Amino acid sequence: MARYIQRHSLLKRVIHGIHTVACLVLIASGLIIFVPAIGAAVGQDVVQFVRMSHRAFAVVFIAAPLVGLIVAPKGFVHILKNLFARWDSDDKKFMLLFGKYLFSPKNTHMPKQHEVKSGQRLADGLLIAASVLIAATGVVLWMGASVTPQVFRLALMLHDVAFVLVVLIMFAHIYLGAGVFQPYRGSWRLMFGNGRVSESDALYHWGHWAEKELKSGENVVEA
Amino acid sequence: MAGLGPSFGRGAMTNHFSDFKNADVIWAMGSNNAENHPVSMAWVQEARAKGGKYIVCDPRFTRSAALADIYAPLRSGTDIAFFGGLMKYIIDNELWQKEYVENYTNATFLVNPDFAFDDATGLFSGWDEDTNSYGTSDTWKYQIDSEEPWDISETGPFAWTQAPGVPAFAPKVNAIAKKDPTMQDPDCVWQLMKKHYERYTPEMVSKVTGCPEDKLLEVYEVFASTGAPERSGTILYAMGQTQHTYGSQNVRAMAMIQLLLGNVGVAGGGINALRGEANVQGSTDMGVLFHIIPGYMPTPVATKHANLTAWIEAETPAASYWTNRPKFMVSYLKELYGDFATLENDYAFDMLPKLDGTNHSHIAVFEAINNDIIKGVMCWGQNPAVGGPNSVFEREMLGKLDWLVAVDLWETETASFWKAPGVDPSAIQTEVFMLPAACHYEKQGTVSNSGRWIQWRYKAVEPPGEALDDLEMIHELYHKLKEMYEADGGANPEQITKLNWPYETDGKADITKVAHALNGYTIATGELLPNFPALKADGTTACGCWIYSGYYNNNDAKDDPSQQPTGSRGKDDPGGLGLYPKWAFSWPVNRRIVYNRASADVNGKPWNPERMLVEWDGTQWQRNDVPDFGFQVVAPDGTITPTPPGKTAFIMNPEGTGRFFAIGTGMKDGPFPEHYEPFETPARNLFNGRQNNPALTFGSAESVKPSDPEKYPIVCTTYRVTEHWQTGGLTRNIPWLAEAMPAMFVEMSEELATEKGIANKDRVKVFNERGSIEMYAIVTPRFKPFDIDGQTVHQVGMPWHWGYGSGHATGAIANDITPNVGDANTSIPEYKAFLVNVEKV
Amino acid sequence: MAENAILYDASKCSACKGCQVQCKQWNMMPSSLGKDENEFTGSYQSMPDLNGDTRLLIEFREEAKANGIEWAFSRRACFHCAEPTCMEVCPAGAISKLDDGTVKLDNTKCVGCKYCTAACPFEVPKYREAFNVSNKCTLCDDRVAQGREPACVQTCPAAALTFGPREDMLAAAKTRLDELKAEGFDKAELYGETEMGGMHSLFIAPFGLEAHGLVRDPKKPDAIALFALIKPLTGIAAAAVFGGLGLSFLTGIGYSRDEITLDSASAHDDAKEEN
Repeated sequence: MARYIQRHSLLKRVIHGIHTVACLVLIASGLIIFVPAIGAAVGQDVVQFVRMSHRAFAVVFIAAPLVGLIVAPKGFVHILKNLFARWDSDDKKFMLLFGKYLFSPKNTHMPKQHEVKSGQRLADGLLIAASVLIAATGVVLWMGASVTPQVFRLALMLHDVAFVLVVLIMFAHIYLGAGVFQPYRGSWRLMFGNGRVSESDALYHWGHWAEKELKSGENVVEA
Repeated sequence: MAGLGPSFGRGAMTNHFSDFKNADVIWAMGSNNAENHPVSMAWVQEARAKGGKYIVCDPRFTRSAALADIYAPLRSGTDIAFFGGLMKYIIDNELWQKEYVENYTNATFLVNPDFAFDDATGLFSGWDEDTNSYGTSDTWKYQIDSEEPWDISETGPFAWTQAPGVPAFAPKVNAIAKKDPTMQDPDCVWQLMKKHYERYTPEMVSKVTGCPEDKLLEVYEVFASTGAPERSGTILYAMGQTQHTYGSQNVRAMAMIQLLLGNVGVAGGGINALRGEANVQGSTDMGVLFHIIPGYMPTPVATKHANLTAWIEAETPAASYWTNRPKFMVSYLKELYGDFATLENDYAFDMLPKLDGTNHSHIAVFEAINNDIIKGVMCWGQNPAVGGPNSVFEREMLGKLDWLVAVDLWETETASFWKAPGVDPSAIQTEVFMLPAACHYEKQGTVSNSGRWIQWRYKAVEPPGEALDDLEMIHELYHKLKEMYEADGGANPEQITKLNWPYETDGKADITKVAHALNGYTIATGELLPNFPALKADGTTACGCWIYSGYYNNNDAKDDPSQQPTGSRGKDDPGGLGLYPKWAFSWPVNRRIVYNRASADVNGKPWNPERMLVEWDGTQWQRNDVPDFGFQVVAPDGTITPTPPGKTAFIMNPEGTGRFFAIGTGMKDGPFPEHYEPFETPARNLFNGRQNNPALTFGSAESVKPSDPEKYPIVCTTYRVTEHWQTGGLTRNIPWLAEAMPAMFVEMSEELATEKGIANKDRVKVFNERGSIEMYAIVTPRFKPFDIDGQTVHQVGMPWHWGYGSGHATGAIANDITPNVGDANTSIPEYKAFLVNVEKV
Repeated sequence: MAENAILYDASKCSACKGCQVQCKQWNMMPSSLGKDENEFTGSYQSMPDLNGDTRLLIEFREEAKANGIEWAFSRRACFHCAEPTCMEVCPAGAISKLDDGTVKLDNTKCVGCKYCTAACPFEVPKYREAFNVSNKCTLCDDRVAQGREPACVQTCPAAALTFGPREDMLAAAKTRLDELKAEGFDKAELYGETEMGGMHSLFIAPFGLEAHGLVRDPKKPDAIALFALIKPLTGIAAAAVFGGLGLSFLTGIGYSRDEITLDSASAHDDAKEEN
């Protein structure tokens, strides 16, 4: 009988799922605006539809994490706590080794990690910051004529900067999170499956955390 | 206009808009032509492009001033001082055009030695304190040299007076004035004028006008440069000159300057009255003023003209083209009364309404309402509730009427006076009728512009709803009145029932039939007359307005205005002077520049060959314009004999010259313009002992409520802005124009604003004894306080386009605080200079 | 087709606003139909700035100088830049440059995103709420195509506005500038010859650019320039990340690891520590 740790709750998974869909739709619809040639090719009606859907999904994009905050404030705080957790020597070592690890996973031994890896903390942090920026500037752009052109054009520029960040980090996030990277194979289940991680994978990825969880057994499921 | 007639013989703009381009100097004084006649700037700019100078004199820095080469400020109402100084400058510096003055003006004429002006009293000889007038002004006359009775023999020029059918009247005797060609006689006009303006030194003028002396002299120098024979200068004026208690004298002063400099009758010269409405020239041509009937003939006066003979004898001068007046009058009567008008019944002269000898101008109408004389009023395209002087009073008077008919495009403030803010409609008993009228795109007919061009306009669209064009309304009104008089009788019903009214086709009003009447025709055949020399005094011709004769004279296409001179749109321009003789028709007889004999020297050589209007080539007259003088004689057999050059340049004046000295009763307040202060003024008259024009009208009316300079030390003037028109009835109802200038404001200097604690865009009230009105303030460096004889005088100004009426832009009525006092000659109200105070609300 | 241009000569303009009203009339732009809804600007200027229903505005600026008052009039409308930043940012392809240099905003394509307003160095295009489109001068391309002048030019009574081949307009403008200098307008300048790559609406400013509220040396706003830079950068960065990750994937092929448990892992760790 194998042991699993319940890493992500259902609520977290649902919110993450919704947020993922919203984000992907926003990227796709945003691209039409981002690349005028596409807009010109598809015509006014489509562009207008896409713009409006961009706004609709923007609402979802902003609302989803807020729902999480309201429904499960403790979990939300927990996420934030992890994000800003102090870096210990393993964390630092992890970051130093990460480049090598990416291109030579077979020959790289990574140090034990806490609940959220230091690299992931960095990436998540950036992603969240970019998301906040893109959401905030998006709201400004939505306000349109009621802000001055100077504010508008600044918002437009920052929206784009955030867009670039979001897209790039998302690439990496998908590569790792969805388990395209061989050592991460199967990790898609964490968010899009039942939210459990096997004992073996947990120990591999998050040594410190896995040891703690397995010892306490609070979130350990046997199947 | 009342200043031009006594100077030149005709009360109309001498030149025309497209002629401005020919000027070396264009001087806008009392006119803000860039704002109120924007189209005029096309030609002003053309003149400037050729090196011409554009001078603007105005109490405020206007949009015209912004484009001017020279801008000079002056306090409102001090134009005569400014002009008087210029006359002295021209005379002292010998800048006048000698040959012109000696031959084409009355400078050489000798005046009654009893004529005098006393600067201690500020009065000319002949003042009668009892009647408050100069009466018959006996001393304002020429000394007589000889007398020439009319030659009424069969071959003589006045044979027509003896023809059958012509009303009997005593032939006139032409008194020839004594002259001194050397202009040295102390009684000659030149010496009198020189003496009169001796007091108008630059220092004095500067003290009175507030115009800095250097600016003053700069204007004088530039404008006086047009005294060189080959140069021409034009003066553009408008209500800034006329709307004063001495408005006619302002105009007279300009006329004198232009005669001094030889600028009248030449291309690029003249005195150009820029009319404030598209067809105001046409309406005065048609006799809408109380004292004239169509074609500038005097309205009969009951106490003076018992019958037609009396009218002819009293009103026909012994010389000038006006000697033909009996022809014009009989033809006019024949048009009015048709077959009913016969020699036996004095051509129905009795049917004409007569004046009672008193003033019936705008101000008088409201005084008459106040005195319960007038009980009903038809306001036809007029909005006195906003446009009348002391409009608070005028609105109050509207409430005293039994009935009021308002004919307009929109419900104006006049039509809605009974629901004005603060008025209790239940307290007003006046029955008000509103007749919706067609606008100019919804009717056809002619419009006569400032330059006397009578242009036919066509209907583009049908009027909306129940709106009718004016002729249709008059037509219906006539038929209804006739029906009622025929059924019920009444006092003098023939006045209406016998009217000649052929102005219809198939029972519907037809404006081309009116055009036939105005042009004139031979009664027996109905054939249109070529022009007014064909009019007769024997009852065989009919003509509604003699000066229009020739504007609609094509017998081959009587129903087609486009085939008539008035509808013609040819762009030929002989001489390249912008005369465009084939574009519409200009009265009289299509002359574009009147008095054009004066454009050439005594031998008929043009002063400036490049601006040739007429030229005697030794055998005949070459011409780019229709000569305004006898230039040829056409014998009955058609033989043409050219007339060699004479000196009669002003054919409408009996003496044939332009007048520095206005003779007889031409001007009611003096033969020379003299500076008086406005009715309300913060300054003392420094030029003479009389504060105001002694002959101003309505000064003692109780309704005027003069404002004391102690309490109201600020000079105020009113004006128009480009974006709006008149009382705003039209423009405040057009959203685009309402938006272009949305709110009522008062403009003031930064100095005054600081003194009063007022900031730009503040709400302020402007007030005096007549009322108090609230509006926005515009604080601007374009207004500057004046230094008047060492004392700081502030001036403010406000447009008068706003009212409470329907529309998209409402605001205070400027005229609520303007005085209802009038000019001595025309009774035009003094809208342009009065006193107020200003306060932040 | 030769390039056309409007030439506005402020030294001839009497600020009558005929062009402003005519523009609205021809292009069917409304004004407020309500009562007293228009704001008072504190000067003769009709409204503070261009707006969704106003493509052309005559502006008023005044200053008292030692030699008199400079009352500077300005015609505010699209300059039709040769390098229009509005066109660059338009996501809907609604802004195009016609052969004669006209920068046309096609409101059948516009999606009302307001990027053009933000991108224009002069902030000329304005949002027209009722139709959810941006609005600006089209140089009356409809009229010009029929051989007529733009509506504003036709209505100008003072010949302050002229229209024709850009070369001719430039030549006329330079001649006029010389005239003005000779008349004593030492600060007179011509605007639009080179600005933004050369404009198709030239402006003679008798009192100098600043007095007429004109932007000296206008350029694409920094944020918009950066915005333009970000696009290719995004592509490159995305490609780089993609490539890197691909490489990472390739190096990881064949990776495998043993199942471990807490216990086995501790043992393993202990062993390692012993090494």
